[in-house]
Amino acid sequence: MVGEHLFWQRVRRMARIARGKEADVDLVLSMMLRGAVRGSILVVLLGLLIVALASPQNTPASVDLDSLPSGLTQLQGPAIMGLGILLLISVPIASVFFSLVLLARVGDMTSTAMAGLVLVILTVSLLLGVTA
Amino acid sequence: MVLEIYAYAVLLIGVFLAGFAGSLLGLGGGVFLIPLMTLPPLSLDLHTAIGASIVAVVATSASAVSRYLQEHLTNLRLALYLEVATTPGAVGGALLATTLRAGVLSLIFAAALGYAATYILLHPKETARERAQAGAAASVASGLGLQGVYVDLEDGATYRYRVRRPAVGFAISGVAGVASGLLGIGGGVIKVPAMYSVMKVPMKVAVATSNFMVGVTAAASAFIYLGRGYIDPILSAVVIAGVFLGAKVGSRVFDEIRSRALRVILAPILLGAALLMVLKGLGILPGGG
Repeated sequence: MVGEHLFWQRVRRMARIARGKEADVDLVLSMMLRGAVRGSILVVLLGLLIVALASPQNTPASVDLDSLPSGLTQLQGPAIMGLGILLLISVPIASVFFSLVLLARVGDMTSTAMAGLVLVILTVSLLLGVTA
Repeated sequence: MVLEIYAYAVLLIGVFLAGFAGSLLGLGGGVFLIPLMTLPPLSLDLHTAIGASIVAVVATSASAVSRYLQEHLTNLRLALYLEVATTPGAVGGALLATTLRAGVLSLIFAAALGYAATYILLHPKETARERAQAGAAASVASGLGLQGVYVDLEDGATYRYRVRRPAVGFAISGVAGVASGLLGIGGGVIKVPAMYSVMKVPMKVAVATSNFMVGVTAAASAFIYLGRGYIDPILSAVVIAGVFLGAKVGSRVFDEIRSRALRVILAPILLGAALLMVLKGLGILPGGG
């Protein structure tokens, strides 16, 4: 009983100490995610608008990563949509990366290591996708 | 793939409703999106539908997570711990999906829909007493620091919780990852009950943490679908826009909608969709086989 009381007292103290730092991690991530999602969706919709105004019949059936840079330099709708989609699916990777940085800054090395491991697996999936 | 204008209109209305229902039930919406796109009248290719759905799931998840992080409901450590299992599962599932025939995938998806319908119907409502007791008799989840504290805006009280059975939760998360990569769903229907029932995490924390994980998991498989040419830009753009808008409206009217009534309506719809997916998988409906 006394042991449990002491345990929770310690947890409460740790929570109070950590809350200030963790609140920062949560808020920074929250703002980053909101901005990144809105931005990438706007890029997708801009591409869709260009396609709708130009020639939707000529739109390729899939996002082609190889022709993306040349399509972007010519401001082609499908390439802009492709960029938006690429940015959008990169948002969660960015959130894991920022978690890693922020958790390392507050000194939580166990969570930093876990975030690093997730980031490595995500990078592998990115490479598997790009080289497919 | 360029559809008729009427098909885009049907798709936009459908994905708006999927995003709306998904946000009210704490799901990414993938379980509604795939049947909508692959069954008549749209009857799209299953792999293409999965590609569009997975991108939409990333959008809705990231949007919801930003709100949950602001309310400090997301347990970031728990999410990262479980993602170590879920992310490789999603990559494996996505690689497997690109090699499976659409008919086989349809049958697997039908089983997932049946499970989702049961989960939605039986989805428990956590009481304040249960919230207060969450983790009270639990053992500490090793030295990972997975325990947490959150303020419930419903009753204004502060709840502390510990995480039980982290190894079992880790294994279930791996399965959720495979399901996500294989079927283009977020996997929230597996992760939330696992965290709530097995790991004894409070429901609101489980939903918020699952949302963070859903985006990361979906992103892992989205790259595979992108590389294999299964992400149609126009289809994905329409689905992203509709689901995002639906989820926004859903989150705004969250308190005014009776979720019990919504569950009673949606569960039979999902069961009906499961039956149609079985017919499609068996080649009785077009697009399967």
